[in-house]
Amino acid sequence: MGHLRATLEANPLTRLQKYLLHQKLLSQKHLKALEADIQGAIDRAWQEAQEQMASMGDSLQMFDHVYAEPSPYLEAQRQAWQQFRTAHEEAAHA
Amino acid sequence: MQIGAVAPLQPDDSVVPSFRETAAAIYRGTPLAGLFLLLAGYNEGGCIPDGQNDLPMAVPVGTQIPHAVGIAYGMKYRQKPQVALVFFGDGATSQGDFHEGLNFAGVFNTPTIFLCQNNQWAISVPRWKQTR
Repeated sequence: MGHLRATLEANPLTRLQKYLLHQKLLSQKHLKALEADIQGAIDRAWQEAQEQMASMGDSLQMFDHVYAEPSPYLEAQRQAWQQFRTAHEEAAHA
Repeated sequence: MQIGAVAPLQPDDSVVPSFRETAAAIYRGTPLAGLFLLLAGYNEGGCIPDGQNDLPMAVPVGTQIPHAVGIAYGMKYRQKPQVALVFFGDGATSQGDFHEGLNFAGVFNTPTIFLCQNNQWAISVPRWKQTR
């Protein structure tokens, strides 16, 4: 735990942010605007990534061509993934 | 640190990453959506856009080092001014690939920049145990 705290305290990103605020090179207002911009870019990219995933077909296909014939072990993995995915989708919609 | 390393490069230089250089990849022009796709398990997301002379992420530790030296050797052979910048961690310096790459770069005097990101951990082993 001591190691984690020391690492977090040494994080150059938060240290630089503190330094810029302290030196008045960055205002809280500018920081908020930057963070909103970045969050927007992340949200747009994730939306795009989800659209690309949907366009690349059903993820269950990944089990289809591992071997010439499906093995029981692979079939179990396929079912586990299908169940996990359904549960995840239900949780997302709830 | 990654941004500082890639900012002085020309767009037609080559960046050869390990698997942590997300900031460098974004700076060099890899789309954020592609990085999300890759992390979600879709290899397609690791594609480098046309015209960006970078390699995709290398998951095996250290294998990218000789690749970078080979690219740099190619630049030299073709008498081009470009350089190759390769990222690796302190753990990768224990790999044979690291020693081969450095020796090859020294013998053939290739335009390679070797950048070791020392985070003090070789996977789960502290650097002081892994490296002397």
